[in-house]
Amino acid sequence: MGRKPNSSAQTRHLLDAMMRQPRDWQHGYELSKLTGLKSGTLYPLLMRLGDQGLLESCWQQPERVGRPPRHAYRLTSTGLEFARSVSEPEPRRVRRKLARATS
Amino acid sequence: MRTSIPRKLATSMARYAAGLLPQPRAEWGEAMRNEVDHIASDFKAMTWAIGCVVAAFFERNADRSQTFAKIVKRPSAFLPLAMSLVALAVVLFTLAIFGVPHDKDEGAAAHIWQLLMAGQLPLLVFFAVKWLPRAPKETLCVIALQMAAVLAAMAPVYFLHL
Repeated sequence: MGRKPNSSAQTRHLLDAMMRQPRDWQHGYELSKLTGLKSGTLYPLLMRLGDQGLLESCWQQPERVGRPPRHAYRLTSTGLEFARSVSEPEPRRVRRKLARATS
Repeated sequence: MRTSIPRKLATSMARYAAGLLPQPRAEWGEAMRNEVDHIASDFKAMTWAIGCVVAAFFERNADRSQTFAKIVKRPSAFLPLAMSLVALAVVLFTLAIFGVPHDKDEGAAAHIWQLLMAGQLPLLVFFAVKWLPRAPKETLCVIALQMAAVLAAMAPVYFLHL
């Protein structure tokens, strides 16, 4: 059986970081600093989440003149719901799996 | 103001990464490229850009793999492959049961082999004509697989003079 989508530690870490300020738009570099994920890991995750409708993006005008516009991201309502569901503490998730397996 | 070498490298790599991405991901390429200009440290901008190249490279390959998987599932792609493999199995099974035949008469196995090999020719042509213009690289990979299967099926016949 294949791995459940969005179940990797990096994805959960990213979702956790984005969930902290759910209404704020965040940029790639800031997200990288928040999560410690390198751009090589971060962008594929953002793309997947965007494809699944869990993430929305927009272009923002730069604060300093002469800089290019910036791509910003935040979780959609579905994404937020999903982030909450996967950010449960590990023991609780394990307990639930065990309960399901034994029932 | 002079631009440092790491900054120049970062800009070039980010531009390269953006170019690597497939067309549907063009917006993400622009996002990666623009983000580099918002990183104050030249060195950090360079490491960021290296990551972008890695991400774009894997993304491009993932896109190609998806196209390849989509094409190879088409009957005109997998049927010739399957027919060659069945033909090979027929030859190997016959050899295993009866050994190398010395008489000139063609048996049922030989006829099945010939039908399987000849029957796949129209499928191969149809597949190439239909898919080569749409996705040339991925189609060529499938054709290479089909050719390998054909050669594998023909090898025992050729080498054992069956």
